[in-house]
Amino acid sequence: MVKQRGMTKEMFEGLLAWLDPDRERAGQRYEELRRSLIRIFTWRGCVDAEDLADETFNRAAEKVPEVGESYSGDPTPYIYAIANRVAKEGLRRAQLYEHFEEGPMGWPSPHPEEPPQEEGQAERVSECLKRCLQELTDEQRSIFLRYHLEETGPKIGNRKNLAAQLGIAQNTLRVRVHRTRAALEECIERCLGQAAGGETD
Amino acid sequence: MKAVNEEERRIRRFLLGYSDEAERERVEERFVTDREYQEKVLISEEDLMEDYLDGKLSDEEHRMFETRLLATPRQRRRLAVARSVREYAAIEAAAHSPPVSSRRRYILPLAAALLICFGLGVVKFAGWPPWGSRRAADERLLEQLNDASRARPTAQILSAVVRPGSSRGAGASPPLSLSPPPDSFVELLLVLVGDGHENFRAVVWRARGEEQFAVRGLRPRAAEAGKVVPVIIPARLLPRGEYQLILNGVNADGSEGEVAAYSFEIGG
Repeated sequence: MVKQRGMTKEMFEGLLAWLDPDRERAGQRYEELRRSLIRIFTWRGCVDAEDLADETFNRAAEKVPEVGESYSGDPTPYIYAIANRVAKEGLRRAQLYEHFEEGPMGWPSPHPEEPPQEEGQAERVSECLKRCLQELTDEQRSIFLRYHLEETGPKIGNRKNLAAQLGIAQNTLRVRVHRTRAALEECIERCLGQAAGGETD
Repeated sequence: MKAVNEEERRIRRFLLGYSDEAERERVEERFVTDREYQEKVLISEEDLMEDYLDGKLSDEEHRMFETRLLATPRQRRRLAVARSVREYAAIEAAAHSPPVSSRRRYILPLAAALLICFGLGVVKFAGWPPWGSRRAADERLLEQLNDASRARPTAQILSAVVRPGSSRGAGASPPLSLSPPPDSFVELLLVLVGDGHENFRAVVWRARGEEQFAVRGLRPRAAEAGKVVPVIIPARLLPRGEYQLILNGVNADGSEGEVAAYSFEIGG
């Protein structure tokens, strides 16, 4: 796990301890929370979602000495409240400097150019998908692919039939497929990162 | 069930950006604190992505989806993955569908049903796979299979070089004979002689003159045998028998002209 930029090691350890007294569980909670915040920032239209998630944790870590002892219960709602403020600040900045190529004090343009590595993406994704599908069990792969067959013509009711064949409710099938997809997406991100020499968005 | 559906509707509104600030913050806080709820939101996002790919969103929803859910490179990659999964699933299904001969079971009852339809003026049928839409589906799959920008199928591919010429007439050499396993693909490398087209359409005929299917969007490439046009066909579309393949060059204005004819045979 990489220490946060702008956060000392002690601050980071304090933050983890606040999330959970068990270091390993704390690390997992941190990663899950970070992914959740990145998703929220993305939905809010923030293109620098990862930076905003890091900023949120920086601010939370600064608060730990002040509130950590007296705070009772799950710190997640508190951290979300910080994220909410960070998101609003970020969007206000983007609106203020909407018409500038580069904001004052060197702040990045709110409208970054499309990165060139998106060209040829479909082919790379397809190759990585093929590779990552092989890492699933035969059953997982079969269910996942059958779920995504076109729901038209003779295949109407494909998902209903699939759930019936497996002896599970349709919603249970949806959840199972979602978890497989989440694992596949992580695998594909790693594969694309390797193909691009470790570059990320 | 009604409460669950209302919850899904609320999540969908949130994802498309229709929620007010208070509602949005409620959903977001629950998203980070409640694991089960988080999964529901992520599943709804995937469902929205599928609706987007299926063209089921209204114009406004389509615009909001692109604005909110495709704003980052990672989200755009997720869409590319969703698209790729569908294509891959269709190609794999093509390799494992029942053999073509099972279609014949539908022909007589379909003919009888059509007669009844004309006689009584009844229009609706359920459960009959109409021949036209099955062929259209096969041809869509063939187009995807033969799109050079996409990955090749992972199932077994039997490749063979096929030279132009007819199997009829005195002195003609016997046609190429292939015996592909049932779940595999056949790749015909059609040798081109002195042709400058860059886009081709192949039409496959059974020897008795019955047109089977067409494959569009074929591109030539260099190979050991010279310039070839590769055509990948699922073995299930080639039951035992003799075939003729007509290769048409497609001009810039969309008009076509026959370039060459090829013969081959599928054995048992």
